[in-house]
Amino acid sequence: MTYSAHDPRTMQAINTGPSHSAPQRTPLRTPPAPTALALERFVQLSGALTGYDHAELYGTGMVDVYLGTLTAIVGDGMTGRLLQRWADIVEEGGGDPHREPHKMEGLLRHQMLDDDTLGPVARNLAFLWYTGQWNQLPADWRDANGANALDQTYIISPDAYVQGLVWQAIHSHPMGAKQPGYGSWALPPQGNAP
Amino acid sequence: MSGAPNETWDAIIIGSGPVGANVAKTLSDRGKRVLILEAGRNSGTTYEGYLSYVDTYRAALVKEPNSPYPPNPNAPSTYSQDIHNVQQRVPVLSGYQVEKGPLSFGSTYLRSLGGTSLHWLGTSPRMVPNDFRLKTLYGVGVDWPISYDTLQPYYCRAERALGVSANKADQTHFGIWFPEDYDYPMERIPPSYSDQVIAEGTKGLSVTFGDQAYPVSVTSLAQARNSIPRGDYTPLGAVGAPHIGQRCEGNASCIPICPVQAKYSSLKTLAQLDRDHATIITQAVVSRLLINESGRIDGVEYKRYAAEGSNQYTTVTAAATIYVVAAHAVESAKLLLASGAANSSDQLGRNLMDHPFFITWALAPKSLGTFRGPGQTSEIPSFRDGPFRNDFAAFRVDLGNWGWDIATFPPNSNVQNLLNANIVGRKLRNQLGDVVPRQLRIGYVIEQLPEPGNRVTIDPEFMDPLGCYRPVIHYNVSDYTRAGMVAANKVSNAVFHSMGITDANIFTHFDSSSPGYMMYRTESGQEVPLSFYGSGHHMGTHRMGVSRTDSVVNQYQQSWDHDNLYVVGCGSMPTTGSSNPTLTAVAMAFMAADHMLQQLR
Amino acid sequence: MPITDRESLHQHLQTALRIEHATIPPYLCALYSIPDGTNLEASAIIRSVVMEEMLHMTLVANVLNAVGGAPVVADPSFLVAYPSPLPHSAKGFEVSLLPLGEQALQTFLEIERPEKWGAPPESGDYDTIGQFYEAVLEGMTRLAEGPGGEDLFNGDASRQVPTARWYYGGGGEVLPVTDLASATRAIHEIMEQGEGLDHTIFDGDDHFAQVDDIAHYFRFNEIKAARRYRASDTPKSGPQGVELPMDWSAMYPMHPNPKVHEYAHQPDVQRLMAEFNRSYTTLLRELQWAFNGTPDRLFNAVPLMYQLRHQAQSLMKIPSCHGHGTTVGPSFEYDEG
Repeated sequence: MTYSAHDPRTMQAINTGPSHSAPQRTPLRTPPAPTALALERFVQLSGALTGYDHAELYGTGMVDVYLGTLTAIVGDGMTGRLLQRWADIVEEGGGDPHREPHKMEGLLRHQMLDDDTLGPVARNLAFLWYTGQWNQLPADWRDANGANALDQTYIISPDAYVQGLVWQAIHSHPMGAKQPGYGSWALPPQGNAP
Repeated sequence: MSGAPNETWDAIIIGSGPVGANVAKTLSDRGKRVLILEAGRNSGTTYEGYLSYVDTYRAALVKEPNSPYPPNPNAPSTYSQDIHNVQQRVPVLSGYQVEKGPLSFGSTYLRSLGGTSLHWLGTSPRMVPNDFRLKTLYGVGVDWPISYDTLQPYYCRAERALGVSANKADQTHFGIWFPEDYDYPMERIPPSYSDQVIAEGTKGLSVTFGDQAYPVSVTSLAQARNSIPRGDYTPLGAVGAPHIGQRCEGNASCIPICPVQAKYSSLKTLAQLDRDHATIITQAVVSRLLINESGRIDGVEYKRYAAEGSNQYTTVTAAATIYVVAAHAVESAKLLLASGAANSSDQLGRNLMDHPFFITWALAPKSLGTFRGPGQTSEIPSFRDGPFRNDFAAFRVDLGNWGWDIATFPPNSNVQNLLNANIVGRKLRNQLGDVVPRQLRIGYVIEQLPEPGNRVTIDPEFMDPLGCYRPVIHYNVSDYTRAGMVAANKVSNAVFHSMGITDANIFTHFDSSSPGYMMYRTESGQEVPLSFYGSGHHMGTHRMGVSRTDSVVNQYQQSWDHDNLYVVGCGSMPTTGSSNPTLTAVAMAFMAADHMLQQLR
Repeated sequence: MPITDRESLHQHLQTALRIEHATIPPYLCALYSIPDGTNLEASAIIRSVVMEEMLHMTLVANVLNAVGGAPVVADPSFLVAYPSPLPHSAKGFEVSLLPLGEQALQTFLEIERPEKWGAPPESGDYDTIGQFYEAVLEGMTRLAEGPGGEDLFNGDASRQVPTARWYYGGGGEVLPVTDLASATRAIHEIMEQGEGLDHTIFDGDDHFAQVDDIAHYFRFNEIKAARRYRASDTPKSGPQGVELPMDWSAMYPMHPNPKVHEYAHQPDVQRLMAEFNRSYTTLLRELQWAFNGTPDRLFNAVPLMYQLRHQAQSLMKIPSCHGHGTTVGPSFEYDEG
């Protein structure tokens, strides 16, 4: 029983190269190490986009990796804009992302997700956290902001796949990793009440 | 045992999958000198090397069955992304196999040490007795030259060789019987929570076809996957790391790779071979069997390539007393056609059959705990036989544990859809958690009858880099099977409704972009759209029979045309029933191997 | 305090259970600190030791049940609060929760150090675990051969954890205990796997047919030396065989002996630490059921063991409150809630 199938949407997103392995990734230059402030903003923004807290995000081991990936692909300038926009949102939301969640949600929507430039990047970042996969940015974004050679659809690394947050969200584990042990599938699922 | 060209072997075995490996073990355990020729690479003989395939899988964008195993231009295999619907009768040439249509053959296989058993799911049910007598009982297809009773003791041997986990009491439907003192080597794999919910929801359900009601039962699925052992059986763990993989650990990636090797692959059998009697040569593509004037095979010619990245090779000849072609139904037929061998019946390559895999999907009212455990742990066996087989195909019902899997490619597709709607943060997290665990996929492994026009051929227009033929496939699905799909859909709707799933939560739908998309006119004149996937089962291409006029091999899988040639594997099956064929093929292989031993006496 | 009667035998066996368990969290922390895909051999070695320690716990439970006792594991008093000496250790060297490294290995070698020739059995505070087990053996034999000894092994046979059903993936096998002979075999198995009795590298294999393995002490020595033993090596020569490849820099830099209360100011971290402890405590409860008449509760224990690993490795990637690049980790504290 080995159903052979492939997701046509993924196929459309792949421009070049075999999908069998991650393409060789040589960054054009090594970006400078992020400041503590940038890192903290990044983690806060990631938390707002993913619904996971600091400890859970750090527990993936991917904080530095994803900030580095983002910076390498969309550049320092765009990354800086994204994080600054987040900082503005926090300030307008009362200075603490958790104090007025409803207001924050609205601000995030209107000032980031609906923004033609920052919206696609933010959604990409959320998808990256959830799946370990970077999706090539939409064609019109690339036309408007520049097309970086590193901006290809790919899975960052085997470990990034394993650390994808989606598996926790669906109360399971990444297929092919973090195995839960013999007989676990017979037990009632955790999370949602059965 | 250097494999030097002028050595003579008792047997040369072409192919290192479960069939080739188990024939090799049977012969070499009895002191016969055996040479195994494998076209693909020497994969996974160390655990560390095997883990590199796990990494390749984890980083693969398209996690299809061959995704852990990098392409090998010298022994190519088809990857799912190469298979497209044949449109307007224009052949599809994108991958290794050439699709001439009218429908594409949606299944792939793997050429590598261990063969397709590297990526199979491990499902191992026996065929039911009536599967062997379709013509006599139902007026369709053909009868086998052997009965279930003949094959029964070999099933027991195969279940031990593959390490099948099941409870005998669960497996005795439709006349399947076992010796009184026999039980499977390991206890059944625990049914999943999802199975338990489905069983509860379908209590008392039956579905009527014609004037017969078929009670629906949810039963544990026999599978070649390590579990709690019985008696003196010791589960075989990973090759090179025997403490790992002695039980299934719920990795939920059986297709395409079990990270701990709790699932059987023939690497385990190959690792057990007595190396004083068995030699394995990989990266050796057999291109021709050499036939002498008297019709005996007196050699094989193989192309030994040193590196996958270069098509440089040396041609080597090897000779043996008997020759065993166990290269997989498509490759075996292709090789024999290329050699001009074994085809006085004109059946070689013909009667290619798959089990078209028909899927339906819905959202259950409550969490089923999806994405946990092996791909399937239970089935509904209720439609594997019955009077309806006069009119439409039998099928085995697979209850999936991995959500909607190939229907919509969760969970990434769910993440993408929610993000496209700008749903982020806790809402994103919660909605994923609320919906995806409720995804239910019920699949149908549907019987397909032998048709001479469904076939593998060769054509000098289509060659691979080493100068070997690519398989050219002609394939269609008859009304008998299409009607089976319609019946399957009826069963799904009954099961869904019985579980409290409303029509609004049944998402089964097909359109022209669906794989194997086709229309079918029902008895009542209704035109219904259908779609199917390949199950990865390739059968029938060198079928066995009672007569040389309409079959390629006899019941021992010995060629009618060449006394010292055996063509062994799923290709020998004259009809398919609804059971995943590897177990049956290995059982048949033991029967053939016993016959070979007599020849080698 | 010598073993004079059934009750003192029970107490000593319960202590043995506690000693075996006390080594597991430190070994697990070292094991968990190895990121997946690195240091494969060292990971396999430590895992094998952990598997055998769990086997030892089961063997001790079987002996205790066979002599009419009732093992206790699901109680705060059963646990050790690290850093701490092992229960009843005379030497007082402290055992800590550490990532795999020089310090951890030093401790492990000390824990598993083989008893010297002629070291007396010690039922009170012992120098080596081997001495303690010698005392248990001696006391149990004396009681069994003394007045009323024929009633010593009067435990309910259904409380025995059965053989291959639940234990797999490691050296040795679970042995049901019904009499002095089987109890003696069980204790010898523990001693031979741990330290080796006869001062060669390899386990004595009189009683159990198994793959050649070396005693725990020498397994840890292989990691420390980054070298394998050959058949011709001795304790004195040390390991002289093939290299055991180590990437010492790969380990998660867990800060020693994490505690939940340290993270009161970081509730998100504290919550994850508490979740680990909840899994751990639930595991102990399932083990208690399994050791007290319902061995099939081990079905629930297995997924919990796997969960511990994944939760621990997540914790080990979170920056700790101590700085210096160290990370959080599992604290193995009893969760009352």
